[in-house]
Amino acid sequence: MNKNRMTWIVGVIILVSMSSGCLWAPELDRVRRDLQGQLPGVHFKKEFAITLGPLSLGLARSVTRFVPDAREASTYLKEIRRVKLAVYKVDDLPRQSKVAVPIQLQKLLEKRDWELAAKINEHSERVWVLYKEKNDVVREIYVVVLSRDELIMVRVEGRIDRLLAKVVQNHVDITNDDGIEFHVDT
Amino acid sequence: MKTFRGVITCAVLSLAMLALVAPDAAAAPKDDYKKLPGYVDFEGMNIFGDLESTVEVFLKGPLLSMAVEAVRHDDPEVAEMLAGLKLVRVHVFDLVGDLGRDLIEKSDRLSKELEKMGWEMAVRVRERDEHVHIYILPGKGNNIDGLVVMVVDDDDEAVFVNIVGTIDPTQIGRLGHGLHIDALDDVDWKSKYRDKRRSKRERDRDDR
Repeated sequence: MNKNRMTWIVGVIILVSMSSGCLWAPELDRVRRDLQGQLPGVHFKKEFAITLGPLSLGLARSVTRFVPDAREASTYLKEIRRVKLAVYKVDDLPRQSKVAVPIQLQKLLEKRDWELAAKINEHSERVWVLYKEKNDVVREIYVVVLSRDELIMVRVEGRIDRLLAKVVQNHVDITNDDGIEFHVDT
Repeated sequence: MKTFRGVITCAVLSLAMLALVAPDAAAAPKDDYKKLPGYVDFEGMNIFGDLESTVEVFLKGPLLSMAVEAVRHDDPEVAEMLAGLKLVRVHVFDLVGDLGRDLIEKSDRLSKELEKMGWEMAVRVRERDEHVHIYILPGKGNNIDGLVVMVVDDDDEAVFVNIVGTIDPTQIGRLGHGLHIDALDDVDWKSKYRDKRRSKRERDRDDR
């Protein structure tokens, strides 16, 4: 295969892959707007938002496979089908005690497959953890964390069970005397 | 108890990170666990009223299955115990003003309700600042069908836990240890349950 043709093929692969990944996540932005409506005076400044589909993740997997320090990430990416991630900087978060579950999350919970795993509503932090199950398997996980400094939203679709199995194998010590503990090698 | 919120959060995230489910398990209706004998309907009994909990945790179905598969290799006994669980539910409240006194009254009321429904008191601590009640629902054989833990730490927070499913009472301490529920971890369940069963046998013999 000549060099020119190879360059074209690689270029097309990269273009197609990148086209399935968007540098925005409108669904997550609706959650941000809902929180904005509930918390008058708060300011959210977008720092980062991205949606990665199967093609972008496939490309990322291919790249990480050849980077020695990122090979572990490659095995995790194999189990992920889609990722939506958004991070906002938070200013002037009011000290109000009650923040209702954002409407977008409430709508999901009204559907049959979605469940609430945890809700935290403390002075300076709100967390909602939702998951979608199908045939008794976790297929999606949706986490929203609102703290005084940041709003972080992430929705991951895929074989969450297998993904977490790999994370557990690599980073969780379940026989620890202090109960279930995570450890991350640095 | 001061770090309870942190450890509960850690436990939830830990369980959420635990792995692999039984792929052939049949899908159950969303609220199936409510029909189980060990389920305590805190809302229906109006225990919390309008109180907003600071932490709510609902571990059931696939999340518990994930935990089972994750620990099966390293700790099959704990895996077997978790496999019998249908629901782990936790509510944590920050205590401000007279809320502590209010929740102590409510936990006393719930204790009476549970006793009427056949639950047995396993632990009761009534100190100046801390009230602890632990109730178990006897099931078939030596197992129990449910567990309720109520802790009101007057200076800090209140915690209500309901664990539903088939539980080996001698393993409750390990369950509490794994889930970071100190009130369960601190009790010598083996001797407590042995004493309880012995006194029950004696009562049955006297009745005969």
